[in-house]
Amino acid sequence: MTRLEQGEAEPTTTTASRSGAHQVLLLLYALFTLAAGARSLVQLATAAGDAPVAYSLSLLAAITYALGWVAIRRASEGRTGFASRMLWVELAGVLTVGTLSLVERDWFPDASVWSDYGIGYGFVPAVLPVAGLLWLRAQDPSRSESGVVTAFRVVAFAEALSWLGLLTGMFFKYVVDAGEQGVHVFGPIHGTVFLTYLVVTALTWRAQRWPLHVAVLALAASVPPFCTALFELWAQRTGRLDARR
Amino acid sequence: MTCAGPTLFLASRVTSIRGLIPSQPGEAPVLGGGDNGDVAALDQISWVVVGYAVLIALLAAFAAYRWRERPPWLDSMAWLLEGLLALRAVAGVGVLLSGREPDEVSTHVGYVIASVCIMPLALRSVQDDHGAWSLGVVAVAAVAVAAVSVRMVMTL
Repeated sequence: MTRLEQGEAEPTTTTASRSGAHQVLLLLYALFTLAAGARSLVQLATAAGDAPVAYSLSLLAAITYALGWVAIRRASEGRTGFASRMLWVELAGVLTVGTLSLVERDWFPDASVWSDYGIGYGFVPAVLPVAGLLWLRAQDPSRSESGVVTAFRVVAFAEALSWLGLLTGMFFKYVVDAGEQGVHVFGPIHGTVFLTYLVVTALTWRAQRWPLHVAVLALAASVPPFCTALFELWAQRTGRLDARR
Repeated sequence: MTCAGPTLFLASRVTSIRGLIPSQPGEAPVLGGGDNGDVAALDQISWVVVGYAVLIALLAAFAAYRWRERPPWLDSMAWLLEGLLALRAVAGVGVLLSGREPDEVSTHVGYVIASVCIMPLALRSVQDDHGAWSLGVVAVAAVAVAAVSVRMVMTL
């Protein structure tokens, strides 16, 4: 006897769970579980003494990705509770380890997966939990579109702000000649925010159904300093960020 | 015939192809080649894989923009990529069996195994879905294959 014949209600998200952004997220989480797990296990098995903190943190990252995969899968079936906590834990982990790797370089004679906010993996480790949280927010139909737009506004502002930090660091490095600590800190932060902006812009393009030239303009705005904030202002004034009907 | 038979045969073919390329400037090509010849041939296959995988990722992005669904020919291209990866893996194992050892054997073998597993798993996960997001899965898998192939070149 099937569940429906027994009188159980069919989950309303079953059809939706088959196709969607979670498929891409699930593949990325599986890939990072494999990459971080294999990397950390080989390093711990062959040279654990070289960088014990970094290798252990890589193993922790692998476990986090495995749990993240489970969380996304459960959320795609309508059970979002675990994912709503797990993705924040992952984001906190990336930011904490990324900052520690910049501030306490002695702890990291070799890189971990989350060193410099995942620079060794093209900053995808930093972008992944943000993308997951945005997807999770989009699962709530009452907040989906406004959530993406809000994320776009926040990230566009953060991108401009990270430019300010990077340019300040470059000023102290090249003009004042006061060391390159500022570039070391703000370089990876700007890289992470830049990639996040690209992802969020792609999501906003789809959600707001922008024409191609607007999307290209939004992406191009990430190249010159502070232009993402200018684009956000322009998009707001011309109704490009208004709620879709 | 042992399991190593076909791989050793392929490795010998790889060696003979590399043997047509001189290893030093001004040196005449010597049929048969050597360890460096095997590695050079493997590298060439790997770079072809990288280029082809990037092409698939770009086509997936274009299909997502143009049609918003996965065309059947993209699956065929992805399986052709898998064929190339299988060829690279078999030839690579043959080279390993012939005595050539990478600096980090376990790391390299891990990359070889990962390279042949990624695309089938990705296609399996979207086999009943031809929507726009399935193109994202194919594109991500292709980019991952390209990255793994680059790492294979670096670790051999």
